[in-house]
Amino acid sequence: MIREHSVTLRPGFVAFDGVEITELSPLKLTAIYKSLGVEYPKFYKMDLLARLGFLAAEMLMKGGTRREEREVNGGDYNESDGGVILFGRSGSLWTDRNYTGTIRDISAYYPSPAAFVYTLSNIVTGEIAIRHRLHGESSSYILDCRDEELEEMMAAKALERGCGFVLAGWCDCEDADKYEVMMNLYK
Amino acid sequence: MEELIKTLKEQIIEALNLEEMSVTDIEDDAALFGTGLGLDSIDALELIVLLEREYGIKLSNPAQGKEIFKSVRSIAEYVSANRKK
Amino acid sequence: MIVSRGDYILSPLGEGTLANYDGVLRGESRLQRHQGMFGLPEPFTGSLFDRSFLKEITGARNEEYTHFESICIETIERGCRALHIRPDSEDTIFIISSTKGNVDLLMDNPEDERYFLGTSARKISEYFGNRNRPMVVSNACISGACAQIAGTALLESGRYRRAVICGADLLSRFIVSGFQSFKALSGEPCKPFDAGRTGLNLGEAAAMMIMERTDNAGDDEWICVASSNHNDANHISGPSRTGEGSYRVLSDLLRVIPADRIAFVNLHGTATNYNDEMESIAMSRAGLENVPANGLKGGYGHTLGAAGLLETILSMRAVENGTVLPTRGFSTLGTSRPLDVSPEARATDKRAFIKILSGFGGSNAGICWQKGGAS
Repeated sequence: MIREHSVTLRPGFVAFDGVEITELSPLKLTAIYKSLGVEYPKFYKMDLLARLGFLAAEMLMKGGTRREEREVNGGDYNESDGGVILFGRSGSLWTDRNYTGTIRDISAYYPSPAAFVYTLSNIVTGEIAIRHRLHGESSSYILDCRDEELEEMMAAKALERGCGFVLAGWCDCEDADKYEVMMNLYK
Repeated sequence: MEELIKTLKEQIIEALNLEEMSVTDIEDDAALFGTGLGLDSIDALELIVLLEREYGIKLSNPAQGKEIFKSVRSIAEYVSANRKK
Repeated sequence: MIVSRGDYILSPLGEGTLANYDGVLRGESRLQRHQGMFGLPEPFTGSLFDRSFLKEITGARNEEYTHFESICIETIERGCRALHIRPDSEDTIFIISSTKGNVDLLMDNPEDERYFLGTSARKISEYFGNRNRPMVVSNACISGACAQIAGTALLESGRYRRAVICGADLLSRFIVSGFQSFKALSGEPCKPFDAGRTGLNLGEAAAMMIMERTDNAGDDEWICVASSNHNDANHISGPSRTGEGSYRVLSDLLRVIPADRIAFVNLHGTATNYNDEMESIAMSRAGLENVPANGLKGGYGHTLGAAGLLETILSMRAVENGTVLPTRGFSTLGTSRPLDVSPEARATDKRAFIKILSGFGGSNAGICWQKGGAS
């Protein structure tokens, strides 16, 4: 198993293949999205966790963080057998809190279907699969802290079971100013 | 009616997270689903919630939505005829 | 190879796997209309644990556990006791399958630390004196199958020899209101694959299974012969119209075991229009139209994180008894492709079955178990 690329996203910090991208680090997520030069209006409908996963996957599949990078560095992947396996601690906490806000008070009880659909921690894997047409394995696991060895083991297992490549790693979002993504592309 | 159409557009942009759009980007008669704005089944459900929250209109059968949610104008016509608040 | 050492089911239908199996065979159900439950303004039809039972098992332990943690602990404890298995050894890992765990706690306190499922799982495994970090599979409706698949992976890796797998979800205002907002619920007991189906019911259950790695399995042991997971890559809430993910799952399994060795395919069968239609297409594409199929949600409703385990375990008992379990709620086929579903129990002499599930996020998973060796 080879780690082709890696991405790190934290508040105020963006890195690709271990090198900080200083022009992206200070940006908000929507600004990072715009700088990547993709046209994908559904991005705005996603919750925070899905946006984070989307951005990391976008960079990994592009082979970089600039608009044109794919032609130079992007791998030649058969997307149909790509997999996405994510681990986190907080699940869909941010959206769970928001959704709870729409049902807590019975006198102002308007449960939001658009919020509810993101109250599952695996929706981020689904969004990534849809964006890149990945028909391989998609899995979401919750742990009380990060376990890189386990991430690599599950990624290797997915490759062994037929995935051509796997986006795998840690994708955790507790709040708008408290998140951490460390995602890799393995082949 | 023009005032209601404008308010509805604002409410739709807010409820459906169409962050990058403004009221002038949505035409009164343009299709909301399919080729037009490209809304999907979750958006349709969210529009049902919007009608209930803002106008007290309860759509018990989601299939009704198909006709009502054709365009912003068709929503406005339905709202002005059926609103409870 | 990976085998199952045994299991235990705790549900509104009964305590213990056998009680549940008998109930399903007799066509029983605890699905009923609940008015005012969880302070919900609208009624819903679901299968719920007796609230006093949940209070009783939660109060039975000195330390403070939530209802969710208590139902997991109770199920695992009863299962391990019956199987004479000690879950505290170093080579044992706990895998919990749940979609929402303690999410209802956010209602009173959005900062409640007990929300975190990893912490919750740790409390459960530590109750049994197990020191390994537990893993939580949270893959929406397919979690129960994914927990078995993850168990297989962890055992095959050599990192562990035994896995205690437990799937559970309890209903709450959070979960029921969400499905109501999706207009996905049926007001009456659900009718999987039926022409008159109007949506799903939600249900509560907990189910546990012990998986183990072994070099030689006996003829009376359940062997996990194949498993698969594929995404539709189509939509986050609607299943693929072509059944792509499920079709790929079935194709993977059939590469390992031929269709003529399959007693039945236990489908997801939620009784929503789209899910059941999608499954009929996937089955047809995979050439399984004539293999008996069934669905168990007419008895339990959709038990979310427990469903994959619950329905796998009941299917194991069915094969052991030479039976294809009846599909409660079904009478007239209402899918575009043929499916061999029946409201009655049927006989089978085959030793293997397939369990598949699909869920939000475009996810699909399947697992094939066989009783005894390949001979």
